[in-house]
Amino acid sequence: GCSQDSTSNEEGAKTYSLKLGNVLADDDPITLGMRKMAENVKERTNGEVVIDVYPSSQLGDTANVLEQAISGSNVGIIIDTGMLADYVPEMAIYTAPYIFDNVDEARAFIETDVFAGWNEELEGHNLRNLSANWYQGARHFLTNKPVNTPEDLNGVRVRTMGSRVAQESMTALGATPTSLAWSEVYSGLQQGVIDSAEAQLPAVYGSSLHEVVDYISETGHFYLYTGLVISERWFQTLPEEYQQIVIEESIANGDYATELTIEKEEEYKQEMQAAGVEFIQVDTTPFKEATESVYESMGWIELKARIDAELGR
Amino acid sequence: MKKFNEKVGRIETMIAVAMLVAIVVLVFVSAITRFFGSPIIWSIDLAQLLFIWISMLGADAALKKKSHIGVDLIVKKLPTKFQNTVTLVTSLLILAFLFFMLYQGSVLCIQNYLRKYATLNISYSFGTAAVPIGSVFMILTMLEQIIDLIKNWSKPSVSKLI
Amino acid sequence: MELVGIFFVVLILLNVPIGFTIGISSLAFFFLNTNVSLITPVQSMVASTQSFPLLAVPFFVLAGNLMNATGITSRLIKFSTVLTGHMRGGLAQVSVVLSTLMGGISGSAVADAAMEARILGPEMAKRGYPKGYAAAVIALPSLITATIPPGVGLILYGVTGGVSIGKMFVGGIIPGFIMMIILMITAGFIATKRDYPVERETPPSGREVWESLKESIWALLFPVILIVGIRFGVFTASEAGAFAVIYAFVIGKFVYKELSWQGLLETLKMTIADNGVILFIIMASGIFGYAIIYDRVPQSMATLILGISDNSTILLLIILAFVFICGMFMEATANTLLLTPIFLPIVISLGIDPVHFGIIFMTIVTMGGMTPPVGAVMYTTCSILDCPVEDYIKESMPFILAIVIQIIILIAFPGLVTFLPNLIF
Ligand code: NA
Ligand code: NA
Repeated sequence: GCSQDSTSNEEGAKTYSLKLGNVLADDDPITLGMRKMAENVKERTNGEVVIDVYPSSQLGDTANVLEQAISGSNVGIIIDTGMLADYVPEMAIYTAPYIFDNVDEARAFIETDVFAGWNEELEGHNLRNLSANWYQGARHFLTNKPVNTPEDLNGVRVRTMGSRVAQESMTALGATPTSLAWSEVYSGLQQGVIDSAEAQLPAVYGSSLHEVVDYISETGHFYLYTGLVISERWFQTLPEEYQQIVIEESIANGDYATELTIEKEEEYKQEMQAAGVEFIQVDTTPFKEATESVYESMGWIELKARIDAELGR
Repeated sequence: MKKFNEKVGRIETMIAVAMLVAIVVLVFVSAITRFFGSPIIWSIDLAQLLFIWISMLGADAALKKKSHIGVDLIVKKLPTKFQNTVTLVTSLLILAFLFFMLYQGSVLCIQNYLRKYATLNISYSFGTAAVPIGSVFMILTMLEQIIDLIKNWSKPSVSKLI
Repeated sequence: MELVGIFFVVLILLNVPIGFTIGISSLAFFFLNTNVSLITPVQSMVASTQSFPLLAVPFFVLAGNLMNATGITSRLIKFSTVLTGHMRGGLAQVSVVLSTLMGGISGSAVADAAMEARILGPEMAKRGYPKGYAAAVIALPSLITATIPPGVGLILYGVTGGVSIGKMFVGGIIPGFIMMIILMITAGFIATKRDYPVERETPPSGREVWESLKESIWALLFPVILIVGIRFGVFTASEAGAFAVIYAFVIGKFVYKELSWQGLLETLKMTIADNGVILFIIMASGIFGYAIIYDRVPQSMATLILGISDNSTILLLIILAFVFICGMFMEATANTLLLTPIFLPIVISLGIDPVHFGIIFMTIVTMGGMTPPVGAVMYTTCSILDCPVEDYIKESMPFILAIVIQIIILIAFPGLVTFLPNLIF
């Protein structure tokens, strides 16, 4: 049961416990940001709101923790906003190719009415989107032959995410989407089971994928601007004052984690270059043009126009 | 009870066998087609969906054969009557556990119906349902075994590893 | 968590099947902790099966069962008997060598042990090996799969700890072969001491070997074909099991022609039940794993341990002992995910190479599956061989001691692990 959501701390005051998970490494910038958030919240609530951070899928994979949150457990997870599409279908557009050009644009979007509307819908599913500004990096292509244009991807078997939009994006670029467990991507690339994978630099470095590819084409086709989603039922047990603190700190440390990620992206890039990987700075224009058809096939023309309008572009 | 369970068991086994064959063929064929450049994107999700089903149905098949392993070190040394009392109590406990799985599993299936297997575009509940439904089969099996135990109260219940 | 422990001990002594014991006792945690939704145990059960590499379990169990039903096994045994019949405990030696070969294929200790228990178990029984010895000599050598590439565990450690997976793969080769030799010596020593009968007095002649080789060539090609398939990128290590099944089927049906459709159906049914036993334990362990992680049990214990000493060797030994204890109670994957981020930074600060630590760590973590009271490999092997767990525990002691010696050797000579990776990378 989840009727009671609080226990007492040493001084006998009421305490609130929240467990936050992610599927990232222990030293990932996102994990560091979550830990800082936990510290700040503890300090500002006089130790009454206690947040524990569980990296490396310890609480389960993303969808599982989300289920736990919906059922009222005191948990939350860093989630690719597009994965919330199971609950709010329009949110799938978040993983659309080239939906944002940079961090500032993505940051501006979460302040819009469109985004607020989605969050309201999420609350109906017992989910609270605390902050959606945790940047994990842009996804690039990892290959063993240079990729400069979409034509270079013709017939290339690329390991990608399972979502329909990810697959259609790969197809639109001429590549052949393939599913493979993330843990098998390393040996898959090494032994030629797949020709390519696409991922953000912290994940590439974290999984040593640079050891088994020669090139990284900086296409930045997907933008991983992720969010921190927790159980709405747990959130409602907090006094209003504490609710405000939790929201503020999650936004502040999302920005902090974003800065760290941007620094780290550069650092990882240099390390991988030193290890012999060639980074290709592609002209993204033809890639963008090639993936425009995805918006049509997904039925997102009108939604995209609304987002463009909100962002004034 | 026995006749009904036998009928159910036969259907159950055939479904599980068909699923096992399907997983093998699916993984084999998808590797081959990927090698030749046209992978089946949904093969992993489908294989994993079937995997939970063959595991739960298999758990029941093992329960029927009494091949779930335990430590009978102490219990087998007890006099028959005590032995059977322990077996009865633990069987009822297992039954309670299975009812818990049936109930909470159903709650999970209904509550999270919206969650999807991404590449299959069907609800994740199709996989999760294996737990409550598998539990129903195991409940039937346990009931039959408990009835058997009571009918044969004078015979020792720990004949081999349960 | 104390209550979970008490329930566990009581239920296991009352002969409740191990999967139910783990599941039921873990529920105590969820009923006491009102913050956690009660759907979580069901979710944890489902989640622990939703791993593609775990499919190697039913695949290799089925492959093992099929090899028995198709005449592949009998030919393989015949061949190995010609080779090892003059040695004491010849079949035990076969188990060790087979695990070394299989390590490069299944990468899963449970799958390897399950298959070999199916293949070698009945033959060992025929030759009068005590069940406990047979179970130990099948279960423990499957530990070799933990270090011989491309093990799933090595990948998991590399990913979690940010250690080069390539170096992990290469680093595991020498320790894998050392383990093979140490385990062969142990098995042979026990067999000699107990005077298990030799099957023949003299080593085979070259002609005998050749004749027997010809007869069993399809069986011997089995691992070769799988390795070639993986190396040429046709299939991944997880998918290799499916190819093993198809291969065994094709050879049995169309080459040896010993497999009937009825036989195939029986084999499939047997596999469903075998897999059900193993996976139910893994599923229940998922419930337990969630509870223990949620409560941060390993973390608080780690904090406790690190307060003990400043000496780096003592600390390393304490850490490894702690990992061993965790392995007694927890499943290898969970231990790898949990303990790597806790201990690796400490170990690196002690000046120990992360690849060196990783191979030792993965050996101990994987051995957790072979030690009581919770161990999937142990229960899998015992259930297939119909062997009392207490017999297995007694007979496994010399082998566990052998592994401990191997670990001490690896600690004393880091070069055994680091030489090859440093040479290649
Ligand atoms: Na073996
Ligand atoms: Na163990």
